[in-house]
Amino acid sequence: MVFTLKNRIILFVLMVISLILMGSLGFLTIKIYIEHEPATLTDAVYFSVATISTLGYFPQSSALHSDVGKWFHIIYLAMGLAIIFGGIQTIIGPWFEMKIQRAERGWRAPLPKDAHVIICGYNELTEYLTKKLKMVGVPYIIIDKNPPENLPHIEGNCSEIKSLKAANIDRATALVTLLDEKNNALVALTARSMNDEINIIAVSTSESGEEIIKKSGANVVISKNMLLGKMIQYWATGDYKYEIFASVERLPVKEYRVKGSMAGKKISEVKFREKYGTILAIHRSGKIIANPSPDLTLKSGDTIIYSPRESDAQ
Amino acid sequence: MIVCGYNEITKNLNAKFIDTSFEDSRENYIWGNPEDPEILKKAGIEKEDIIIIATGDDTKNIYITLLARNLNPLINIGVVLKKQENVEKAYKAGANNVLLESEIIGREILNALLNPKAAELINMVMFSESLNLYAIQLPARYIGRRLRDTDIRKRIGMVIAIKRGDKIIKNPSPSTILHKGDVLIFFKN
Repeated sequence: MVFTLKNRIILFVLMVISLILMGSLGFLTIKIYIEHEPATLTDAVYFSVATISTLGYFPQSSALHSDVGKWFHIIYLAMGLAIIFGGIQTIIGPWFEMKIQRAERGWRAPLPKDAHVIICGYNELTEYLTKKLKMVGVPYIIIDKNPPENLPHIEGNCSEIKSLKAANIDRATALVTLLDEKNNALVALTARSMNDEINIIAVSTSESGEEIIKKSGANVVISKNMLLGKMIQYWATGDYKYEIFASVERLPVKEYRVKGSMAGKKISEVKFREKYGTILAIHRSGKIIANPSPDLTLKSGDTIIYSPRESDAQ
Repeated sequence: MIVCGYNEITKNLNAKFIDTSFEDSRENYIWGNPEDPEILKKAGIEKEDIIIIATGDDTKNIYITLLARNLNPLINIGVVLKKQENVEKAYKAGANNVLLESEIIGREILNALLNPKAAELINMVMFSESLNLYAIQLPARYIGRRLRDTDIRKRIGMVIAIKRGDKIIKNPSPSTILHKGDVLIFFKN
């Protein structure tokens, strides 16, 4: 048996209960068989509690008058003191320790159970992502060998089934892997074998790696060097693509899933511009229709990619 | 354009590189440490209008920014950084634009997570180049009219941005009045 705080408290409570039972039993036995006086259970329990709490006040019916009774009372008092003070000490110590540890480490976040994002690796990128995910209310779990104590995490290796299981991968919506190329491929393989549906997003640093990670089961591979290289190029050459899609003041882009009464109507009929914003493209069965004609008929299941109206754009 | 640091990120740029990582003395490669003002001068920093600083080391990059700003007060300086805490320092050192690696990649991951279809559209334009933007000079007959009163939407498509002088108006409202010299930007389909 491990003496955790919880077990200590349980043990202490059990000891106090048995102490009261023992005292009551002793009181009743002595009162009835030695002192030949009437005694009630209430008197007996009162005797025990008044003794071990060192209350010290005993009404006539709850006191023992014979020598045997008095000796029993003295021994019982000694036992009671030993158990109460000893017990409180063994509880107070670890309790303070726990309080101090919690204050030092901060609050240990509970792990989300479903519709969450698993993030493999803890680095600059993880910090950026967790901040943003918190803002939009998407729960996440970080898996790393040295995870941050104050965020929901699992300590371990992300390419191991054990760690991914602990992160409830079967109910997660997405997994982001931010490790090196080889490990990202391994994580994608492991994660895909455990969940067919999960959206796996991986970072890669080379073109050859990109292909391998994709073959390992990743849905999206973000090529770090290519991305940064293009960004520099667009900025340096003054390409308006940078200003429109990548700058701080870039065009905000959102998604709207077509359903209900909107399906079957033409774009020009649904007043989308007034209600939501400017339609940039329609995503239909895996394909993107950019610059759609106002005469295009919307179908249920289409996703409208749009830029929200000024007031919604923040 | 001068680029400090020849690496996986910068290698496709069409520029003059300063680095010590390559041995051959090809054209447009200047062997040397960009932390040396003489090397920057040799690269012609005083006559250039843009410099990209991407050595992979934040401290070095900020130092080169200071040097570059000192040697040419008018040059456009772009810096690639790794740590968030250095962004402000780089701007103070004289950078015109800072690209924070974790932010650019993080933003991309976030889009793939939260708006995967919108991200696909943006990637088509930005990276795979399977979808292009095109720009047209505003035809004279539309000058002074509101965007909604024209037949541009029907004839060409949705205007996603208007370039007016140095400014780019993104997602222009239908009540935007079109000016002479405006450039209308569309998706090419």
